[in-house]
Amino acid sequence: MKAKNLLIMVGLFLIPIIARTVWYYQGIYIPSKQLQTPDFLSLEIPQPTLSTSVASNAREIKKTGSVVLDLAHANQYQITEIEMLIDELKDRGAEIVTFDEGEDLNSTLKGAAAFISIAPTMDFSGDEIQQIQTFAARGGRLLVIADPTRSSSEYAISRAQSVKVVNTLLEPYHIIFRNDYAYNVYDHEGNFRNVYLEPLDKNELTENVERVVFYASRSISSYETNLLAGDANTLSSLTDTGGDLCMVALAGNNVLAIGDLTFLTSPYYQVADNYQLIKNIGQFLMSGERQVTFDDFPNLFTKPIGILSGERIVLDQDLLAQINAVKELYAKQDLTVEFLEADDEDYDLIILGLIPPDQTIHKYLDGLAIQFGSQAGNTPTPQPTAAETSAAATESITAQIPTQATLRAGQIYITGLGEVSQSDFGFFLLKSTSNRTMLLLLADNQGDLVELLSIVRYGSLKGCYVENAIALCEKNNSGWKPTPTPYVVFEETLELTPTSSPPPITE
Amino acid sequence: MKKNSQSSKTKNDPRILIFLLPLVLGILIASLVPRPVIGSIHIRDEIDTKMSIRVMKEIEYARSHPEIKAVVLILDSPGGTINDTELIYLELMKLRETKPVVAMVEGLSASGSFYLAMGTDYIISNPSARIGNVGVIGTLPSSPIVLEETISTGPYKLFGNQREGYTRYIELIKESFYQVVKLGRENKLKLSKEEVLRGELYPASEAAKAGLIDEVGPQSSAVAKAAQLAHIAHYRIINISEALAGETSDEKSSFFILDENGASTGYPREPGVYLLYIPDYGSEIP
Repeated sequence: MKAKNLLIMVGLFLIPIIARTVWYYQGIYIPSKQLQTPDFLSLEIPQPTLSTSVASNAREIKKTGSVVLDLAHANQYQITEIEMLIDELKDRGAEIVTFDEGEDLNSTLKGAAAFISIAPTMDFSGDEIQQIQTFAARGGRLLVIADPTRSSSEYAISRAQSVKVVNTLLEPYHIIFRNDYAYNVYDHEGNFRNVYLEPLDKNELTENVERVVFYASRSISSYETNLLAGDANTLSSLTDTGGDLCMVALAGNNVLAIGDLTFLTSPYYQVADNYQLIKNIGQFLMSGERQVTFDDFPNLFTKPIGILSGERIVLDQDLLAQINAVKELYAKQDLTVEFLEADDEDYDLIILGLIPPDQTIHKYLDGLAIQFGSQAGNTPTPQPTAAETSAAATESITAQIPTQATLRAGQIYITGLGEVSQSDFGFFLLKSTSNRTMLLLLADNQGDLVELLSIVRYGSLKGCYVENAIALCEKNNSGWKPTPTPYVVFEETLELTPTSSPPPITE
Repeated sequence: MKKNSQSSKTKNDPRILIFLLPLVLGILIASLVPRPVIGSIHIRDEIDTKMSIRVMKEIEYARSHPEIKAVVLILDSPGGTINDTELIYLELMKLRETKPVVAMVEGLSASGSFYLAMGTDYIISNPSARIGNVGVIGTLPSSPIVLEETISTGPYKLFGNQREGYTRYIELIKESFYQVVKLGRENKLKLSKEEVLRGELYPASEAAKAGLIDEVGPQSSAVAKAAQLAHIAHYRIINISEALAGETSDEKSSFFILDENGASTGYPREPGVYLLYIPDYGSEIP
């Protein structure tokens, strides 16, 4: 009985405790699993891809012209950022010139081997685009870099504007930069936007390049040669699609578009084959087959300049004074000027002669569309182009081309321009081949020749009439002045460029 | 007469007292059994030092108060600094050794805030909330320079690392973030590593389908889930920061750059490396 009571007492004691406990607590919390935090010690810092060693070849430095850096279009970079490229260009004999706001692009491009525009954010004018197109068409090399991290500001509108600027410039070359950046979340160098690129085509620009890294790069749409592209997992931020996105493209032989600037800068140029690519770009920029024209006047030469004079030239005080001034002009370009007794292939030439040209001068006139009235030598007959084969055009041409017999002494016939009087004009004739440039100065008398040399000295053909390889500077009482009326007779129907193998004219 | 006598006998029977006494004693002792409490901790702003100090105090409070049987972590934050996020995360993990923690995403759980959600047992989100943005954001420090008037003893004494080293550091933090997500979601995660690290923000429903969260629902569901995990009923809910009133500072945070109207621009004042989502990135960097 006592035990029973005791149990009841214990029961009565526990009931409220158990009741309350059960009321509130229906179990015991046991963590469902072994709680784990990341093994921070096992995480490793990713290391950059080792750079490929590049042999530093001793190069022969030869004077090959200037490279113009565009700074006139609110370009979003500092020259110090591209020192590696500049060193490569200088190693190849380039003179680095900047094109600043307010300057004349045509003048700056005179004698230039390449024009580089990096991250421009201000529109190119129509004239500038035309001048750059002409420059590239003449064999000048054009490099355009549009980096998505280089806009005038971080505003979306600025980024769009910077793309528009470069795309306007590159429109004729069928190259379009997209307003995006490329990324790869699977295989990248340290960050998803640091993408690997591999060559698509064999080209001088991708020689010895196996893999490069671009650091936030715009992708490029191009109908031309796609040189370097990402892999199948490299996508465009614009659409999250892509694969094999091109980021370096070449149009024709002379226009190179690159979607990243950072790979040129320190320390990123040291990664993978970036440095090799920079060397190749340097070589590309300096190796254009630049066709020298009067647009480059007076920066026509890249080699030491030799002066050859015709038989009737007298080296008097006035002439020597002008030649000395010309020497000083070219000395500023590190070019020497000296008299030659005979032609030397190692020299570019300035040839001085009187009209009609003598035998010394005569051989240099081959291929130039000029015919002298008293000349008994070879001059080309104007050739109609394929487009000018219509009967009417042919008749028109034939009717007005003078024959050797009809061309009077003292008169000069220039293909495409017509007849002019030798006493009224001085002539600059330009011949440019792959390895040398020759400038012929022809005048009616020695005094006029001295005046022509002064035009070289002052460095401008302004006021002279220039047609392809011939420039005419008219003389009147006040000196040389512009030709008042172009002597264009067959402007629409004649090919103005000298034909490659002009038929000889026989007596 | 006999009946009256019996009644009087019962009233005065000491045996009844003997039975009542343990009952009363039991009731008294039962009253000492605490009513369970679910504590709520709120992270509704950027995660900076001030925030981490407050939250860690609240976690410590929850841990040291036995009546708090579970915690609901209410999140509506774009994230913040790496250090402060990691500090809170590690304290949450420690708390979970004794008490379950349920995350309730109210509006935004991005980057560092999502990192904290990975330190909880269960994640519930408002239907319209946005979740994810796994990744790191940072600005590179200045390029190394040398100054005439400043003398230091090594090339990196002034800058800590090579400039490029910060890119590597950010990548390291990214990897660590992914590890946190992987451990936090385990086999519930339906996204690949690359997909997680794209840094996307997902609507709650999509986040649930991707396994980034467990459920879409109201705050009461989060509380109920916390109670379920803690095996408690008839609990009460307290806001731990109110319990700690007076111990935390009301000083206004200076984490973000403010515009001329005093509104936050979303950009951190100090350059550095962050687990942060900047809502309008790129449109206007002050």
